[in-house]
Amino acid sequence: MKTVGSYYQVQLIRFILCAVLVFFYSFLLSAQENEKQSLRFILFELENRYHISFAYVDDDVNTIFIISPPDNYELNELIEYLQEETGLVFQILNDRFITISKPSIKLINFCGRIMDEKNSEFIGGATIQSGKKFTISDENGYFELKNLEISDSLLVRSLGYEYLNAPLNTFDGDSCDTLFLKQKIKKLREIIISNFITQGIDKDAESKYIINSKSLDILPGLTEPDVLQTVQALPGIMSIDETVSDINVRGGTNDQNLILWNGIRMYQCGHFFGLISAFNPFTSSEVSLIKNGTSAFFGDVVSSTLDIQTENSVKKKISGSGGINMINADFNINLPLFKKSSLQLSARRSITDFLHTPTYKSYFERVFKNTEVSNPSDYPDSLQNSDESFLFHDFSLNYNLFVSSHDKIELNFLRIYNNINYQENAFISEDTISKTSGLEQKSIAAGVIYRRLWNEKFRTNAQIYISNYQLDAVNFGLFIDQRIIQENEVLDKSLKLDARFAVNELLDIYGGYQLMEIGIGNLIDINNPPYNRYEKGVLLSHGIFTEVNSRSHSGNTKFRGGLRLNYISKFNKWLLEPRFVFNQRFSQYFSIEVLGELKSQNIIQVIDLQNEFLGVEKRRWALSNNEDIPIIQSRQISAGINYQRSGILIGVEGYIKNVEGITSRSQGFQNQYQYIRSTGDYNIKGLDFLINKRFNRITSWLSYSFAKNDYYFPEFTPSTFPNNLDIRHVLSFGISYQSSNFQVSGGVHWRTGKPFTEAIGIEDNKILYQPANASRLDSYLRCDLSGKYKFNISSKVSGEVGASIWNLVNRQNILNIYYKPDNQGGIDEVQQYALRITPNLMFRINF
Amino acid sequence: MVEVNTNKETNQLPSLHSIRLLDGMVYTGDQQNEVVATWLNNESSFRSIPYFYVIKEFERQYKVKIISENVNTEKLFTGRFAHNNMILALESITIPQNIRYQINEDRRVILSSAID
Repeated sequence: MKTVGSYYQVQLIRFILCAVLVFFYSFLLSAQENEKQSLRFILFELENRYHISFAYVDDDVNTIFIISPPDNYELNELIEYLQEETGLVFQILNDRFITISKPSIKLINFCGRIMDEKNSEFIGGATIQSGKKFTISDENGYFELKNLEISDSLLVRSLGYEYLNAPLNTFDGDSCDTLFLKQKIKKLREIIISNFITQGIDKDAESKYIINSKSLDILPGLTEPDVLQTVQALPGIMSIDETVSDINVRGGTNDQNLILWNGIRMYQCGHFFGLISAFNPFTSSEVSLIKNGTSAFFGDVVSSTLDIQTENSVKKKISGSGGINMINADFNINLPLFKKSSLQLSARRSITDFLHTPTYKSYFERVFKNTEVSNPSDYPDSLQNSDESFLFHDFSLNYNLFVSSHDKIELNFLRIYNNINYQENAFISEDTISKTSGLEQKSIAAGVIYRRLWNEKFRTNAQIYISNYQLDAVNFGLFIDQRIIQENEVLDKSLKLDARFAVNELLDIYGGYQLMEIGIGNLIDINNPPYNRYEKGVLLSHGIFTEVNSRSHSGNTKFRGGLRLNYISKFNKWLLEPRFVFNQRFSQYFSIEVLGELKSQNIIQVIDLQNEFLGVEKRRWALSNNEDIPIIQSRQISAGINYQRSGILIGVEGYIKNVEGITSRSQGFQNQYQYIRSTGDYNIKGLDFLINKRFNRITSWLSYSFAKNDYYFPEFTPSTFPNNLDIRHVLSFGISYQSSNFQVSGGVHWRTGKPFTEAIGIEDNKILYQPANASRLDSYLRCDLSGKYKFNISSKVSGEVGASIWNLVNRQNILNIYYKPDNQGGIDEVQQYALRITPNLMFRINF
Repeated sequence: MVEVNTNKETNQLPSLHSIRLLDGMVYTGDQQNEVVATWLNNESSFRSIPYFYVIKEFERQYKVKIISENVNTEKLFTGRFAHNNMILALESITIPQNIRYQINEDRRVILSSAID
């Protein structure tokens, strides 16, 4: 048995050896077949096979080795093959004679100017090389090179710029082309998740969301890339009253968001009293949103930071766009001026004063229902409101100037204006009396930024700005012959300085100083009985900050740690605020992040009476007084994990946030606490979840947020109760399809209802309530749809048409319920509704 | 060492040598020094011949005078030209070197390099 066994073993070994040999042999054979042979030899062979004659210079052919052409080629195929393989020119003179020559070398003279792509500054001292010839550009960026071979390429190098390398024949060398070099910019930002939710939304290593409005896909229900609507697609961000002027980030009120436009703090962000964003979507180029781990550069608020940047590069060509939808028309243009600067202008105006579209009617009802505009409070039965006229517009100017290749100045100006006027008519003793009441909301912002790049490692920025906000209301009471004027004004004058020093590729240090002077004025003027009160307060605060930004060699670990120190001279108060972001990538697809921050705020919005400012925009800005309006302080920590693989993205983030020093006046209670002034805290714990899947042209996302948000007011009983903004579950689903010129997007948004306080009775004209926020509104559900089609009108002009439907199934969502005494000693329940089905159309031309 | 298979014979070809196949016959010779002009099929044939020999042979065949301006006549040329068509023959020898030619009335041919 043993011998038989070993026999088979030997056979098996032989077999394996054989197989291995056969394998290697066939491998060698196939390698042999594909081996390159000398062109010279191949030509001899072909001359014989095809009865042809090649004529050539030996030098051109001797050094070339190619794979022999297949035997079955026709002569034409053969020549084509040889040309392809050798790079030589084969010319068939007749059926026998074929010449082989080098591609004819054309010698050219070349001249040009080297220019910085961004600032249109000529670059001197750049090295320009082609073949063995080279030269250096003069101070005007000019250079000449003679006798260059056209088949060579041109290489341009200059310190601090990326190389330019391109074949000579791509330039028009005779006319002295301008060659643009790109500044080598150290990438401070690193995108870790791109196309978050949809194309145009990215998330960087600092957990900051970056929205690029130019590449943004359409979102359901919107025809325009409205910044403040778009951010609401991100988990943890929503507007509970469905306006862009009241955005709630992780359970905070709107005044807890810092909204910056080109570095200037804005105190108004909506048109139409909050239904659309006041920032022209076609001028903003990049918007960043920070929920936690804010850079120490930003102070001022306890919730999120929204940083809107308009185009700040110097444009070389005129470009722009203009469009119209059922609410407004807008136009913007980029104008290059004198090579080193460019001007961007934009303007937008409502068209609703001469065109009452269904969109306008829907918006109008949403904003003005249950306000003085449509329901005057005194004697509503005999009063008639008519001739309401509503108008808004905005205008912006951005001027970017390169003083030199290292110095840049940016000027920014923005004006936002909203106005509603309406006539009230009454019949008193058979006379018709009519008076015009109105509300005007406007902002003006202007700023100058000076940026200097001292060298590759050190850069500084300085900014001065003024931001002014004004809300003025005039309300006439016809029967009691009363006129009430109310005004709220903010004047913010600030200075910001910062410097960044790159120690090396892996570490940079950042720091700076900020000075803010915010003045707020409040006026109330009544003619009958005569009453006038004007209060003005000014708060001066200083902030210094420092930050380190580092990353590991592998790039897998990133850390940013910062410290901000605020000083408020009036209260002699020092506030120290540490901030950090830590991001670790492990394995190819996973990354985790941990973020934390301490922040503070000394300007807030309060609601004194629900019918102030005609009840339309009843929030007024107010300064901390360190007493009944304390300085708000927040602490937040969050941790998350992301999984990203081709086409799929899953992210989960949990957070805990504690905000101390909020005043009940800022919360807009419409219950037993409406007229009570007290200070307290809120605590929120939550989880944001997102899953995003892309198949070729289809993107879909599902986001879910869970949060529990409670107040703690020690003077109230019970002290702990649900926050007005306590939305437990939010679920949104979206899907979009995109082809080269067509996009369609649909979405569903569902959330649990917000808390409200039910009334149980009325006593001495005072409403009695259940415990605060013990009840909940019905859940909110909305389906949206939008589509857009792009087409070319000429090579430089393109057009877009789009349509959207908000609340497609026309569901009646209740946003709020409150109570007021009626005239018969009972209670009226007031329900505020969200937008019903609201279509919109748009048409746009880009050039 | 390269192995060359023609119809029946197998020739071992040292690497510095070239091979010429003409009407089924095999000629071998030293690549650098072979100076051959054949008149088979009314053609002149050259195998790695300095260009001035090619010019001389052309002058002899077509009874012309060739004047070459800024042409490198030392370069080695391989190929043939026909005896019955001067333009075709001229192209056969000028195109590989990127040479421009001009034929004057007094049977003078001027060659000049196409590269300035």
